[in-house]
Amino acid sequence: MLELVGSAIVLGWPVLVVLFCLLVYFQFGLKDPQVRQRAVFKTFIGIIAALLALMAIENFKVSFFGNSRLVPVSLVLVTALAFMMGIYFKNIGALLKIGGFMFLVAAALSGYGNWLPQVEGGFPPPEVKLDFSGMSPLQLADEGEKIIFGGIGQSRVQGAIGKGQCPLCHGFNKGFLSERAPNLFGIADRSKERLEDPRYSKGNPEARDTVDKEAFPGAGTAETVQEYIAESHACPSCFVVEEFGLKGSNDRESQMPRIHKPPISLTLGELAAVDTWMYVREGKEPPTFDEILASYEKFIPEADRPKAATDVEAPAAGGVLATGEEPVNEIFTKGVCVTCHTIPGIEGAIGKIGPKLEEGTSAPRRLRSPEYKRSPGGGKAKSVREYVTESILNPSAFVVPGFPDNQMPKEFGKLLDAGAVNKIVDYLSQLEEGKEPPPIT
Amino acid sequence: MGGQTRKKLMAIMALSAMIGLLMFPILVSIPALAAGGGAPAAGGPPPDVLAEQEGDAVEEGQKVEMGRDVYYKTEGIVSGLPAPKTEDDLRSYPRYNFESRVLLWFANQQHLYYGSFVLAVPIFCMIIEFVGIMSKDKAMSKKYDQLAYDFIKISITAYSITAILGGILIFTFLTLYPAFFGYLSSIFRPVMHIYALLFVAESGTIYIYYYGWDKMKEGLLKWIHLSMSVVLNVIGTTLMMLANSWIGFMMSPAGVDEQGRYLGNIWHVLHTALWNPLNVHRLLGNMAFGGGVVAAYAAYRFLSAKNDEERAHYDWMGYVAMAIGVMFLIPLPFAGYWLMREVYAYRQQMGITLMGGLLAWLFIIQATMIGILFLSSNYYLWQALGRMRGAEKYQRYIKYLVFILVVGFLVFITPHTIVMTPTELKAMGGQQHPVLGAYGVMSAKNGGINVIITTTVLSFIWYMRGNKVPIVPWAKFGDIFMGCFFGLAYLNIIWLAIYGYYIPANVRVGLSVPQVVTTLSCLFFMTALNLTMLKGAKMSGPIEWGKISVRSQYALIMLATAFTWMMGLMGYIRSSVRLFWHVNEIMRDNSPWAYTHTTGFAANMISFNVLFFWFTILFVFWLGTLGVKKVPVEAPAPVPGRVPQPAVGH
Amino acid sequence: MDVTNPNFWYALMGLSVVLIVVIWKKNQALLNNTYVAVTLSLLFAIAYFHLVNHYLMDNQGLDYWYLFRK
Repeated sequence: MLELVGSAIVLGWPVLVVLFCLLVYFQFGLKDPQVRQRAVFKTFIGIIAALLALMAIENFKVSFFGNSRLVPVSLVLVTALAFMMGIYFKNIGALLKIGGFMFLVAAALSGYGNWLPQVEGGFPPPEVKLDFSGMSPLQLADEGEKIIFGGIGQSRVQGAIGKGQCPLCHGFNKGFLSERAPNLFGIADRSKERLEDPRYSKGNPEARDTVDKEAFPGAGTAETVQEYIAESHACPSCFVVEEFGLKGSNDRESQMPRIHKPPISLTLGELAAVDTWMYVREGKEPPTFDEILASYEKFIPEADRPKAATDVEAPAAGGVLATGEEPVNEIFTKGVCVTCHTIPGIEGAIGKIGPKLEEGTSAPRRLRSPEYKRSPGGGKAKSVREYVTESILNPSAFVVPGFPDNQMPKEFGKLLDAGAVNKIVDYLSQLEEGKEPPPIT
Repeated sequence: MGGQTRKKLMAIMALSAMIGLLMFPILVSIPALAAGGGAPAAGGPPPDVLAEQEGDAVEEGQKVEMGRDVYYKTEGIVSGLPAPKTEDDLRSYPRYNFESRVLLWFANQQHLYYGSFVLAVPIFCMIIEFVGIMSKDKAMSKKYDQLAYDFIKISITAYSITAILGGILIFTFLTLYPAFFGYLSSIFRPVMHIYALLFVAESGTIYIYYYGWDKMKEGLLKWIHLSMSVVLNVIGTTLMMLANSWIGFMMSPAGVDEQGRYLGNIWHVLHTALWNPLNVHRLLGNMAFGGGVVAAYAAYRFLSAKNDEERAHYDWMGYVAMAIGVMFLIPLPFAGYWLMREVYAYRQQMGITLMGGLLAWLFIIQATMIGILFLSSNYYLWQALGRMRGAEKYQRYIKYLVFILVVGFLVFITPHTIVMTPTELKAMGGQQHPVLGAYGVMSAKNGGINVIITTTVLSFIWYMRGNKVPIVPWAKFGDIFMGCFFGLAYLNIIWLAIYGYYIPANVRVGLSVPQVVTTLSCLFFMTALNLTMLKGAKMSGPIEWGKISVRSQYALIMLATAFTWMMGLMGYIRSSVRLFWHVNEIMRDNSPWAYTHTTGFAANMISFNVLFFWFTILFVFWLGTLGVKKVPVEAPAPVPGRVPQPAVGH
Repeated sequence: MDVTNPNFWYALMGLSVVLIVVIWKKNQALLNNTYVAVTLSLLFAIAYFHLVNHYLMDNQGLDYWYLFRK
């Protein structure tokens, strides 16, 4: 406070000096005692008002960009001085009072704004424009690893996952468990065999028994290894490796999303990086960037190619998929829950790898079941919410009978923010058998 | 007599010629636009910053390239340059040793305040002049005419300030955001020229309208004068819509491909997803704002009035301005609701950022302010009952209205979802507060605001009946009918709000429409019924203009200040929802100021803008009083030519 | 008697209007009787608001009677 007065005086001492001189002049220069008294008094008021104004300006200067939330104090100071002047300077009293009142309203609103919790939007993620076409194969492979696993060198870390979200289903290392989708180790060699598989029916898409015969009408089938990989990304249901089809579809339909489409939406450049990594890590000579691009262009029509503007560097390892600000259906899609689980009320959630999620009904049942009590994973949940949360964060705590263990990724605790988990739990706990699903929030 | 007819004929011809001249450039440019002749890069690269920056990209080849519209999904020939990729350097973002964004914010906001005022006042003039012409009472007619003239006089000075501020704004853009402004003007080049031409047209019309006031005050000439105000407002509204198309484009771009290249269809660029909701919202907002400013002017003159005559005049003026302002304030929340719906339809994420994410606290301030606006207008109406004899019968019920208003207000401002830190989340046990969360959902909020608006309608009806006693034979039935209708309207709104909790969200969203229509039914049917009942009603006493309390005038000032503040707030919210985009998803903001300010900083900045605006507009008012002396005083309630003391110390 | 049918509310509204007109013609004083006035007004207003609710939900392709039909 004193500091403020001090700096205010430093700021506006000439004004104060002038006013003070006036005061002295009125006191000793004016003859008529009545006039003198009034003039002196008004000048005195003026000095106080000037000081208040200076303090207001000084406080404003200091606090405007600061985080002290004290700017409204300036407005209050001006309000006070306006009303004070309004009382004694009657000829402009109305104006001063109106002005003061406006300052008061503004001070109240400003104060309200400063009193509320302060939310500041951080800087956007830095935009690093990746020019894939100009990269050497090794650089390209590094980018590919980032897209798949979230960082260079992360491919050996269990559970590492990047923007491409591939490790949610695919195994990448030799001998790693990969039950939801083929293990991709040795893909280049295996692709050759697959091309010759009669079920693939190379060169004759009409003969296929899969749901999608071609990536788009007229696309044809793959002829080379690279084209096979490209087709698998662009049209997963054009050919499904035995045993990996959607449950009940008899391997006619794949559970994998089209990678160039939402929610994953990799651009052609990114896909090229991913593919390059697959070759490079096995010590194979990758096709050139342009060859890879050409292979994708064969299977993805121009209009469907994700825009290049999204060639933004993928969030670093440990980045979260969802924060809980999104609506719940988006969280389910982003977490790729929908590929394995059937979730009533969520469009596209028709997966059959994991149990159907009607936790309002099934969770209480399971909590009571003897299997839960002697589960080797050691489930500790007492309520439905706890059960659902536990199942997301620690899937092995209890595995629903009839479903295999280690199917569900164990990293959702890292991939989803508390808000997102909360939203999922809210939603799932409300789902009950034979009832309307709750609204999506 | 023959001379008179000739004079009238000349006047009509002059008016037609004027309209023709003003419209000529636009008519000429339309075919050119339709043919895509105005396409930004049709005649080579535009000579602006873009050309320098992306110069290498221009001569990409002569082949015709097709692009896909980001919004309309139509194919079009690429005929513009891609949006420049800016970097945080002095080339894209030249700067002073100060945050450029704040400077731009200031320049933009001031221009907008004046622009809104200048657009709103002619609409007022049109309405008031029309009322004056239609008024059978000669004295009243003159009084209205004088009032309209007073309004336009204020707006003439404000008009030139608007133009100056517009210039400052453009310079601010050009000097601080050259890359962005270059891109925007390359897309909107033809629109910007039409805008400039329309501005010329607007100036021409407004000056003829103002200076021709005395010459054109009789008979047919008066009607021509009135029709000129219609022309004026058509031009003004078109101007506003064109300016809106720029911000519409920035929020929800269309007519360009994913790289921001223009595709040759200017209508797509104009007609973006949010253009029309913005137009409606802004038009209504401008009117309410204009009403507020004029009401504040009247309040200022009332408070500084020296005699009863003056007080009576300015009391009346404040009342008229307030009534017009509130008339447009009532549909405003509905227009806002439409805008929000369109935002959600355009990008759900954007809607969530607004209502439940980063900017949610600002919306809570906004909800509070809407409540304050309605509370102050109700307060004014209740105070206004005091200047009528016989209004006591209603005054004792006001306390119940206060109760209803406060309850509605509290429900309305309760937040539903708010962005929180994980600790806060844990402390509250979920995204929604266990108790309060239930009151914050949209159908309850809608219930709250509709209760508030219905109450405002009720206050207004009481005000209209204040000094009158209906004498139609069915008066008692009418009263009871009105009471039952209002009662059931309240019940229906509340019932729908509660009902919303028991049905799924997809059905619940629809409930707001019957709620709104319930409110509007009260507004239209009950006002009409009231007017019918009051036909030939017995007056229990005249309205004693000038007898209104001083407090009521502060309510008007409150209304005006709060409205200005809210406009600043909403503008800020609308603008910052783009987050780090200059043009949403097309052109990124890579300046050092791409983050979103804290709530407190925004509030301070808005306060600064508001106070600066009022500081200058009071100066404009003062200028208005200077001119008064020269105009011969003839109105029955004259604006007295007194020394403009209030502004001397200003 | 199906309350979810708008015709029911139309009938109710029509009834109130007819009654008002009839009483107006026959005996104006009766119309100003508090009980009569309240009854007729309530009848009209209840029917009116139900119609508002029904049709405005219907226009949006939604069902106002959702909870009652279930």
